[in-house]
Amino acid sequence: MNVLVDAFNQTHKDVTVKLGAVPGGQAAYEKIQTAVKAGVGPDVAMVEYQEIPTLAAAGVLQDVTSLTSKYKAEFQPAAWKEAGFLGKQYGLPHDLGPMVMYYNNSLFQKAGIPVPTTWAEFQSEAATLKQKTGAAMGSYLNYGLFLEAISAQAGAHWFGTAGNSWQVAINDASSKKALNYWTDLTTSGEAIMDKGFNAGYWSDLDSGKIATYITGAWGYRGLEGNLKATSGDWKVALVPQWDASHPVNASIGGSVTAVMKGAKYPDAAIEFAKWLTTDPAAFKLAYQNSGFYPATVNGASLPEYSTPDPFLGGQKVGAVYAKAASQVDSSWQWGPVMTSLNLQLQDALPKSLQAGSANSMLDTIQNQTVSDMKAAGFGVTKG
Amino acid sequence: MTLEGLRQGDGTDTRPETVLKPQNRPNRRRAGTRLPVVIGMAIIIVLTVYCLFPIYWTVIASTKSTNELASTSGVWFSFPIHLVQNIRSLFSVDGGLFGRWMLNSVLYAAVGGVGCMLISGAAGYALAMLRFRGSRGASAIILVGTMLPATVLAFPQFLVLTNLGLVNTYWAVLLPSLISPFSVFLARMFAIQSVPRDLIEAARIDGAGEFRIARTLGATLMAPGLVTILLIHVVAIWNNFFLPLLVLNAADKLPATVGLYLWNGKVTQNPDYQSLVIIGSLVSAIPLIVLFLTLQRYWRSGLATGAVKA
Amino acid sequence: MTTSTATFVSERRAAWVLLAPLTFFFAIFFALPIVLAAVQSFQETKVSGGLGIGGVSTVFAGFDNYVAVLTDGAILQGFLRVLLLGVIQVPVMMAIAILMALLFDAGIIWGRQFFQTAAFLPHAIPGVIAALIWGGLYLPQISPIVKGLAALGIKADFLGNTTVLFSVMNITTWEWIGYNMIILYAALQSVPREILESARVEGAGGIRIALSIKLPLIVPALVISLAFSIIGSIQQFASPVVLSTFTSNIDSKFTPNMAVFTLAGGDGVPQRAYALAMVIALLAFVLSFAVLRIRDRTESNR
Repeated sequence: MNVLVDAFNQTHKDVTVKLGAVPGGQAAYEKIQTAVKAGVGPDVAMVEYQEIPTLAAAGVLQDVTSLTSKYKAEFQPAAWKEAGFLGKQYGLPHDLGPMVMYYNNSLFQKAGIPVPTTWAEFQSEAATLKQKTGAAMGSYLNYGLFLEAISAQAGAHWFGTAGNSWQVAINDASSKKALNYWTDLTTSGEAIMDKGFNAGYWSDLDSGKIATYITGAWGYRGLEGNLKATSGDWKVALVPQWDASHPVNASIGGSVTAVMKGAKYPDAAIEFAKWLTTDPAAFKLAYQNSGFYPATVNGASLPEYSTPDPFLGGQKVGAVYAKAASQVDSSWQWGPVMTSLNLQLQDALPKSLQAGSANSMLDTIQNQTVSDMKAAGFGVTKG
Repeated sequence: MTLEGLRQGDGTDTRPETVLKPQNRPNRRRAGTRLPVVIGMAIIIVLTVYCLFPIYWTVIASTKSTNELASTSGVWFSFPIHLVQNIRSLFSVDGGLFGRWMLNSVLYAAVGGVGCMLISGAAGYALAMLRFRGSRGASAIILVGTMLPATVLAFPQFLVLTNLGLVNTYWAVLLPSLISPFSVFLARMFAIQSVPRDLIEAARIDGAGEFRIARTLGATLMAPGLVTILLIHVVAIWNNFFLPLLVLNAADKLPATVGLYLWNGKVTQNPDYQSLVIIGSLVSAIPLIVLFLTLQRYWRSGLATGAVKA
Repeated sequence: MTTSTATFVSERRAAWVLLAPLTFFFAIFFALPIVLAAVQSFQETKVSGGLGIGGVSTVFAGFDNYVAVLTDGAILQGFLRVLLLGVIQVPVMMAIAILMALLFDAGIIWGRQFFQTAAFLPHAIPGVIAALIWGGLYLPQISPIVKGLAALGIKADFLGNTTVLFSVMNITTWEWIGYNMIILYAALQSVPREILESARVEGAGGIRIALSIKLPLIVPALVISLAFSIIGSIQQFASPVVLSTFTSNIDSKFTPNMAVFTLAGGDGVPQRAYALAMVIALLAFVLSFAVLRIRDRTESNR
């Protein structure tokens, strides 16, 4: 991020950006809230999409609809929607994490299986793969955003608004279908549960123990940097579908360059945000540092995405990413309690495996979320 | 030299080793002590391996490139050794940020440590040696303060610092670290044990003022204890994680622990940081180890004082 | 008698001057935060307007936050875990520290300085980093320990559902064993040599002397170390947080301190974090008064 800020300051003499790192994991958002309320907050902050409703409710975001509306056509509809709430825009989308499937092509060839396009194929090929190579087909990532993305892709809408109240439907049939699918795969050893992002997980991918990594487009950077032995064996494909005739995708992660309440120069903040996402030189740095895919409509136009990638066996990733991004369903709505909801999911998931079904976990979390939201003053009706 | 003579409870090496050394009883040694020596050495060596192995493993890991970390076995160096290269990139990556973090840690630890030692020393002396109403109550509050978990305090401290407008300044870390109830607790204990009341009474009869007595007699006699307090608190500040994490935003004000944690969080997106975190962990521990080894004599005697009569 | 009264007055004044810096900073950075935490633990933030964007207000919540925290099964399990830490990890660690201290004190160890420094080294490594190091040694895919045991036919799972708590205990033990050993060794060194001499003359062996003479004499030091270690276990935070990035078997409320962090960073009712913090503080008060009592008793015994 600091290389980006330096680059911006060098090319924009009228605006100088100072960078704050806001370390703190979960506590980072609490930190920003406290700072903004005390009047010592930043002008802009990189905020993950799922936190926008929470921060909007806390009153720490600045309505910049009038400053941003002219840029709407340049961004992916899903990203645009999630950078705002209830018709107000709080900043410009930065990057999007359209779900894709990275797969170990040489393992696939060894097992003689084609690239699955539906979840049914994925499951039947998993059995073949396991039998022929001993490898697991995928990983059941114990990571809130992954669980939400697979639910959303199956058609779930965990949160929605109707009039003056929230609708909550975490335990609907689609979510149960998606999570139970992975529960079954994991129970039969055809998927492995992991928290992801740790040395052990990379090693499992690199040693051929797990054949696919389903994640946001940004997952590339982690793979490419951590995997050595299987470099060149990997490829990327669109994520399998429930119904191949109606392809739907969801986004894992991604962030908004959001303007904070009390910002002294909101127009300069938007200028910076615009530059950050749409300037080719700027996004090139973001891609090189973090593997981000831009939230813009023509995101794949960056030359990096159309150069043959040695890690992916010479594949050009742009076409896959662009298609994956265009399929992201823009009807998904984040709720106002995502941090605690995601922790609840991560805490409960291992027990749902023991139980062999995600049903009671989702029911419990649905009830807990509704009662927590009511306690915090939200109006809630069941979705 | 006079200090040596005055110090009480300095048990470290005052007892001549000969008392226990079997040379005094050669006849016994041949018969009975060989087995205990073998068993004793065996136990100590096993426990030493336990203490050192994780550090050894980290050293090994730090000589490897990021990719080798996951792919090689880990108990032996893999060649070529990347140690020098890793250290060089540790200090050059992100515009030399790591060097800045180390300097910040030194600043926080030195100022906080010395300040805390002075404040705690004065308070501990007062609580132990001077008669005033509320002395016992104050001591009890201090003891209660030692038991408060840092996480309990951190969020409300952050709130206070925000309202004082100190967030994201060096003061936000320095000012709270001036206070350590545990240090006051120790200082009071050291004062009780190493400053004889008669000596103070004698000085008073000689007409010395209270501050002079505190400065000359108190500070001198409590010196080993004060060094111990300084060291314990320097370690605490050096390892402090929670408060700086909350109160600092600017990357160039972070201490090494939080900086490394920040890098560790980047590993997800940019794995090149993996080996930097490992080597950084080692490098950041070196100043503490050096400090401990060089001041060993002082803190050992300080701990001995505390241990005997706590 | 008048001189003594005069002295007393200036003593009082000197005491307040010497205590002034402490009092000043203590008030701002300890007392005030705790009062703030206490006040907030009885409040909750309410959003308004149904969807939550109609503004935020803070209202009195009575004991709601306390009830919510103390009826949360995951949090209660966390308390149970630190209790286990207190009754399992602390005694094991102290036993090993005593053994080491006694061996060093018996003068039968060659290279004592080296071995003592080695044992103390882990304490100089920051807690977060120690946990990262051990995390690597627990991860089956990269751990030389797991691989070594597997070569011997032993299947070790340090991050399993039941084993992970012991793995947390091990990190704490590793960090503090040398520190406790040094304290106990210092105490042993100040046992009067006449006592040991006479025991030897009477024909007592090394083990006899260690168990029946040295040990009883260092009980006060032992009690204090024990007490601080037990209080330290309530504060467990860094190790489980770091290990939770490696395994699903550590939930976000694994220890009470982790639960405070989770609740405060969450978006439900952050004031619940303060309620839990107050419960932990209360527990710490009870323990600290127990320490006070024990210390007073050992002091009056001598």
